[in-house]
Amino acid sequence: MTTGPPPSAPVFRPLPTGPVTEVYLFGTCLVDLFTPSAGVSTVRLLQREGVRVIFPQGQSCCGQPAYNSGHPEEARTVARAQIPLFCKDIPIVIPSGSCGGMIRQHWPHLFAGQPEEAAARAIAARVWELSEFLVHVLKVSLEDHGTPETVTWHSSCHAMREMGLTDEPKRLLGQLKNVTVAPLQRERECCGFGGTFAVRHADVSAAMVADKCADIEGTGAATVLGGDCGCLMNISGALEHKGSAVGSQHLADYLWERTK
Amino acid sequence: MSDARANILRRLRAAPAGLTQPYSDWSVLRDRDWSIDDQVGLFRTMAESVNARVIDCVAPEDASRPLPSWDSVLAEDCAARGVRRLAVSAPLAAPLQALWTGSPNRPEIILTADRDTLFSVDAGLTTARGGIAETGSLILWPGPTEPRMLSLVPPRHIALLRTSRLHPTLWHAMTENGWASQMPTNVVLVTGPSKTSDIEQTLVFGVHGPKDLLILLINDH
Amino acid sequence: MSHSSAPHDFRAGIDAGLHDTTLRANFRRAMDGLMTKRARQFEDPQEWTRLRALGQEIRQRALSKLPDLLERLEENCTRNGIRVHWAEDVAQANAIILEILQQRGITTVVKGKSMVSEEMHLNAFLGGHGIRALEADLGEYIIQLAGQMPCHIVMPAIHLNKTQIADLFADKLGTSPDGQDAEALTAIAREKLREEFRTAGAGISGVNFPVAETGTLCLIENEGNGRMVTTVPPVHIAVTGIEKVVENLEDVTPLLRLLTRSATGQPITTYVNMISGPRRGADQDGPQEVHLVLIDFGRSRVYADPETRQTLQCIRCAACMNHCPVYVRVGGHAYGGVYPGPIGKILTPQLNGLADYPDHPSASSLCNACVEVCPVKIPIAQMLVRLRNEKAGQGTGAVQDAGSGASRVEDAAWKAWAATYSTPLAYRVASAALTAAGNALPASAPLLKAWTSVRKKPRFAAQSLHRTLKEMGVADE
Ligand code: SF4
Repeated sequence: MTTGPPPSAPVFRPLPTGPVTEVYLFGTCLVDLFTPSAGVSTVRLLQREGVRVIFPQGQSCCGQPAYNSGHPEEARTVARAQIPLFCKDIPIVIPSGSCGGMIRQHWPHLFAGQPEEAAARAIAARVWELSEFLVHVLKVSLEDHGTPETVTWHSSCHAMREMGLTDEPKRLLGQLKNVTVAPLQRERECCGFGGTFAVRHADVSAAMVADKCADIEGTGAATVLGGDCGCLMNISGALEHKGSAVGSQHLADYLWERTK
Repeated sequence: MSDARANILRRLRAAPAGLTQPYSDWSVLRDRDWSIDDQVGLFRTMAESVNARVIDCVAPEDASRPLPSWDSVLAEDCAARGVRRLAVSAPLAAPLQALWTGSPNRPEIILTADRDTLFSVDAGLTTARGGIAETGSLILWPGPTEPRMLSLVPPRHIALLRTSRLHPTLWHAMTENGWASQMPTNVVLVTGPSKTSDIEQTLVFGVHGPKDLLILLINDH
Repeated sequence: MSHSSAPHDFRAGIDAGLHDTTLRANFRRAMDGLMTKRARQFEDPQEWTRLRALGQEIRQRALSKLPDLLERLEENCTRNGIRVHWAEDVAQANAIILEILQQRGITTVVKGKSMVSEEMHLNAFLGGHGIRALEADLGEYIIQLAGQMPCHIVMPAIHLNKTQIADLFADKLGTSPDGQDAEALTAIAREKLREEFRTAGAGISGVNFPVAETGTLCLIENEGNGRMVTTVPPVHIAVTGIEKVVENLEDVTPLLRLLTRSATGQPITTYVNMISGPRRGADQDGPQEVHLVLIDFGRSRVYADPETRQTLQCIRCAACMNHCPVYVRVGGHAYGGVYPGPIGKILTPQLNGLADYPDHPSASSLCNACVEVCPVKIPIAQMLVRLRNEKAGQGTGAVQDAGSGASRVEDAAWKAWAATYSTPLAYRVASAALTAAGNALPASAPLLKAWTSVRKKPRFAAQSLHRTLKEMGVADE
């Protein structure tokens, strides 16, 4: 059963005016400590398009873990520390729909009525999820150097429903001539991560990720790809735990490895 | 009790202003450029999609189209489905009586608002005040000449609808006819026969209302 | 609203739902069907976007004038001959209905579907006073026979299959348990209930849209039970929440379209009843009396805060639960209370207090599937986050039992986290430590244990992105 495309019209984002020569990278806390390769691949993909990447070393986290756990004060403390690091009026690229969604959708709310409100809104407007940026702004064309392979794609909830992504990641994968994307039966269904949800409601989360894994294995794909390290950590952890042969990888790593 | 009213209203009035929307764009409902023929076609498709039966006919005195008169369609259908006792709304009783006098095998015409009688008849015949093309709905407007139960408790409901009374949507029917200033005690929109899918989502017709809905579509546009 | 009973145990209900494979399969199939049917109704994204914007605007506009509209509704209903009653709590509402029935010597009532009457536990209350209240919606009828609560607000018996229902009918009604399909089971219920409609002393119904402008009660349904209970018995009593009122008659049209298409994928329900009073003048039938009971039950408290007020926009279509990955796995009964699924997660704790429903706000991965389909654009995920804040004592205190979930240990942990993550030096030290030694944490450490029951432990990278990019010479400006 597939539930079809999103019923809402795709979010229309005004593109940056003029050519983009410089961007910030917001690496995210999960990528930083668990999957730094995804950040490195992001840098390489951007640099190859002639874009200069700035990575402010003072950055840490968008504040989402605390924000979603009923601790907006702490979320604000952490988010506030990021604001001055991204003050140039250039796009901010994030290899995560979830952290992107946090900044785009929730920072304006988090900072409503605070001295940083205007700055937070300005940053929110400059945030791009990686695949969205590659497709719409850089309009990349990718040359596949890899061997024929079937993969499947897990779309993260926040990328779809907070960042308004539709098929950008699949458009990028579609450019890889030796790659076949076998769709999941329930591509739009949550994998059960949800941050602290996975530990607070461990049994429901476990049932969700078990179904997701079964769906992934049912596609016959060698690898499941995703654009969010939270989902990937959940899915790959569960696949490994059950001894599955299916591997998992961040989209940035996969794109870079096949096209470098 | 009067305290409850005052307390509730006081609490609501004490609340700060919230989100509001001063203006709305109604074009998503308003803009329909369907001809009357489009509307007739759509009405039929939608009504039939929920298991209503729609039969084209004309008024008995109208010989301008090659369609049967509604009373003969009605007589045939009653004969085919074993309707022996037909309850009718008041304005239809006399004309039907006149049309059917002398013809054999016509159902008994019953003019009543008695609950127990209506629970026992085979079918109820009503007029429809109008129809809604977009959803295939009948607009019933019961009142002094038509009991509410007539279209509800008999196992079959037969309704006369004139094509000239079709509206594109409920919104058009309501706004063009000024319903807001003249609501009767009961208006009911009927779209197909009674149905349920409460058991395993299996569609079953005829739960509490009629199991069969026949629309005699009188072409007069 | 009392705290005498123990808080609702969401996890206990979850266990029952998760481990019952029949239940899970029934749910999955049912929800898949509803999602597909709904999607077919909204294939044109433009129309969906515009229609739902209109729906949201109408609901917000009505809420912004709520006290005025309620007064106008009362005035116009009264002019139409409908007697209007107000109730702040369940006890008042039940007493109002009991008095109406007792004064007229009524001992049997038939009921159309009404979630508000579930909030009132009306059937049990009337039963305790010797009045038989019979549910007439087929799903509700089945649930009542089974002595259960509805597990879905539109399809109350969706968790039972036909074999279970045939057995139930055999047990309670003495019919044969064998060879009964949905059609035959429906026919049994029809026969039983027809006689009840004919002889009941009163009909009780809910209301989908009370219209202030005309004093009209709109009620939608497919079976005809709603028409029966509001037409045949001599007395009709309608119960509805104060938040439901809409301003103008035309406001009903977009909401109706959104409701039926979102709920069951129908362009319209079989019946749309618009009731504007008891029989009048030369009317031939219809009830001699119509009563409207307007209930608060905590809604005015939800209304008091402009953010939580958005909860009251709900038109009870159930699309949010049909699309919810948690609901489809745990079933409706896990939620306790009357409203399951995402709307239940935000409404139940607001109406009944966070202390009684402590797990509701957290039982979501915030996947936003509900937000995407809500026809009146309630920001359900934002509301869940707000309730989490309130529970932890970091909200405005507007929600009942705010702060009841505050934990010193958690607060301290988040404070430490914030201190580390907001100070580059501290973060550098901590991340160096984690990348160097984090993998030594045992899988049985607190938090990690829940994670590792079905997953491998996450592995820290040998070197952070910060250090790697610095080494690569990526600009730090
Ligand atoms: S919250 Fe929205 S989707 Fe859920 S029942 Fe209410 S109106 Fe429907």
